[in-house]
Amino acid sequence: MKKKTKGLWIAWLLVLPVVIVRAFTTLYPIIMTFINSTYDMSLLKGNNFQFIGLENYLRIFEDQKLLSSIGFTVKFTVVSMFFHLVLGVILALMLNMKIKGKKFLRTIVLIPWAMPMVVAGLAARWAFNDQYGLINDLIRRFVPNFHYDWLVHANSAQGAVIAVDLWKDLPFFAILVLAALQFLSADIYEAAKIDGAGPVRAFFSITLPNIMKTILSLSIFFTMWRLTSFDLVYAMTSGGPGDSTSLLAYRIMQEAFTNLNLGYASAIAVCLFIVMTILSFIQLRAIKKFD
Amino acid sequence: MKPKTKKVLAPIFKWGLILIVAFIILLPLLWIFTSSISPASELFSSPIHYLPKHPTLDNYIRIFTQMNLGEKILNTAIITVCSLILSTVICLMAAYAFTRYSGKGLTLVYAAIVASALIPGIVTARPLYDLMKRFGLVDTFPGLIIMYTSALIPFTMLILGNFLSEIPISLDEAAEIDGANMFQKLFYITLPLMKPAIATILIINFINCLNDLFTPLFFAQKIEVLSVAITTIPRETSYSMPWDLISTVGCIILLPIVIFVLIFEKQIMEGVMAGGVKQ
Repeated sequence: MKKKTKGLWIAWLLVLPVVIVRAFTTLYPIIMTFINSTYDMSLLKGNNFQFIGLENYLRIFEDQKLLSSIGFTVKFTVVSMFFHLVLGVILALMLNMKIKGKKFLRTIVLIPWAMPMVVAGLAARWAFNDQYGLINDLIRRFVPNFHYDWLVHANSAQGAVIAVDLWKDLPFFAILVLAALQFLSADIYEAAKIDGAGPVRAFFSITLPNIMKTILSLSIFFTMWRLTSFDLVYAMTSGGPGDSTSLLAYRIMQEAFTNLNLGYASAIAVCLFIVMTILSFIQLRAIKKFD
Repeated sequence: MKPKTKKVLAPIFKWGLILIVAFIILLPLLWIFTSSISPASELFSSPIHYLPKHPTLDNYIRIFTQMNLGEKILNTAIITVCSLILSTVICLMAAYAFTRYSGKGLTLVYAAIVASALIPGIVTARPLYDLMKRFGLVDTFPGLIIMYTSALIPFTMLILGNFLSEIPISLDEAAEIDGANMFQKLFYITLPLMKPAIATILIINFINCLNDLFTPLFFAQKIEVLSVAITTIPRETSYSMPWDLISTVGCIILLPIVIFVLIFEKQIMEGVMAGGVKQ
C-alpha cells in the first residue's frame, strides 16, 4: 500500500510545530549570525552598529589570541580523532568478544557517555591537581614523591584536556563501531580461518573494509563535536593556563557573551561553520568511494 | 604455542583487557563517590583513601541546606519532563506525517530537520539569545523548555521516523475500512506499536537533558539546573576548588544516570546504535 498524496494540508499541519520550533531556534539565528558578522557590533561601544563588510573577518588574521585558539582546536581535534579511530576500534573489538564479561563491559562503557561533560571536566580539574589529585596519586604509587602540576603548564594541560575528552567519548565511539561489527556474519571468519588467515590478517582483509564506511560517517559527527566542544574546557581549565586550552567554541562564547563583540564573534562563528561544512563534504565524498 | 596452552591463555588475556578498561572507567567514578562521603579534611590530604576512614553525609546535608539544591533538582525536573513530553508529542505528529504522506516538500523538510542537528549551538547562540530576550523568554521556564525541546527534535525525529516507516501502512488502511477515524487509528493502532521506540527515545532524551550545560548556562541566570549548579558552587578564591561539594553535586547528577544505564542498558544500546548520533 502506498503513502497518501492527497490531503497534504493535514500532513503540513502535523509537521508545523516541529518546523516552527526548529526554524525559531536554528534557521533564524544562523541567518542573523551571517548578517551580524558584517557589522561593527560592540555592545560596549554603544548601540549604533555600522556596516563594515569583511573587516571582522580580516581581524581574525591579526588576533594572536584567536590564532592560538585555532591552533589548539586543530591539535585537539586531530589528536583526539586519531585515538578515537585506533583505540575506539580496538575497544569495539573487545566489546564484540565472545566472553562472559561482555555484558558487564557493555554496561560500564555507557556510563562515560551518559554522564554530563561538566561533571567529568570538574572532576578532571581536581584529578590533575598536583597535591590531592587522582592522577598523581596513582603515579605516586609507582614513583614515590612524584610531583607535577598538569594544568599549570601549557603542554600538559592540553594533553590532559585531550585525555579527558577521550575518556568521556571514546567508549561511545566504540559502541557505534560495535553496531557495525555485529552485522558481520561469523561465516566469513570461518571461511577465512579455513583458508589459513590468522586473526590479524582477518581483521585487515575482512573486518576493517567492512566497517570502514561506518567509521567514516562516525568520523564526521565526532570531528564536528570536537570542533564545537565547549563544556569540557569551560569546566576543566577555563581556557588556561593563559589561553593555551581555549578551544574555538570557548573563544567564540567569550567574545559573544563576555567581551560583547557580537560582530566579531559572529565572523569567527561563520568561519567555523564554513570549515565544518567543507569538512563534512570531503568526508561524505570519501564515504561514497566505499560504495 | 600448543593449542591447549592457547585455550587457557586466551581468556586470561581477554579478561585482563576487560579489567584494565573497567578500571580506567570506574576508578574516577568511585573516586567522585568516595570524595562525596569523605570529610573535607580527608580530601585535602595525600595519599587518597579510596575507602574513606570516617564516612559522613555532611556534604550532602550542606548542599541541601546551604546551597538550596532541592530547588535546582525541581527546576531540572520541570524542564526535563516538559521537554520530554513536548518533543515526543510534536515529533510523533510530524513522524506520522512524514511516513504516511508523500510530497517533495515533506521529504525535504524531514532531511533539513535531521541535518540541522549539525548546526552547532555556538554559531546560533548570540542571535538566538537576543531574539529570546525580545520575546521575554530568557531566564523563563517556557524559554528553556523551547530550547531543550528544539535540541531533542532531530534525534527524536530520526528514531521515530525510522521506526514508524517500518510499521506497514496497510494496518492503517485496514482500520480505515473498518471505519476508524484518524484519532482512533493513532491511539489504537499506531501508538501501541510504537511503545518500544517511544521508551528508547524517552530514556536517551532524559540523559541528554541532564547533560545539557550550554543552554541553561547562557539562556538563564536565576533558574539554575543541576548541570549549572555544579559550576556555581561558591569558591573562596578563583583558584580554590571546593571538591567536597562539587563531588557531592556530581554524585547527585550521576545517580539517576547510572541507575538508568544499569536498568535500560539494552534500550539505550539499541537506540544509540539505531540513531548513530547523540544529539
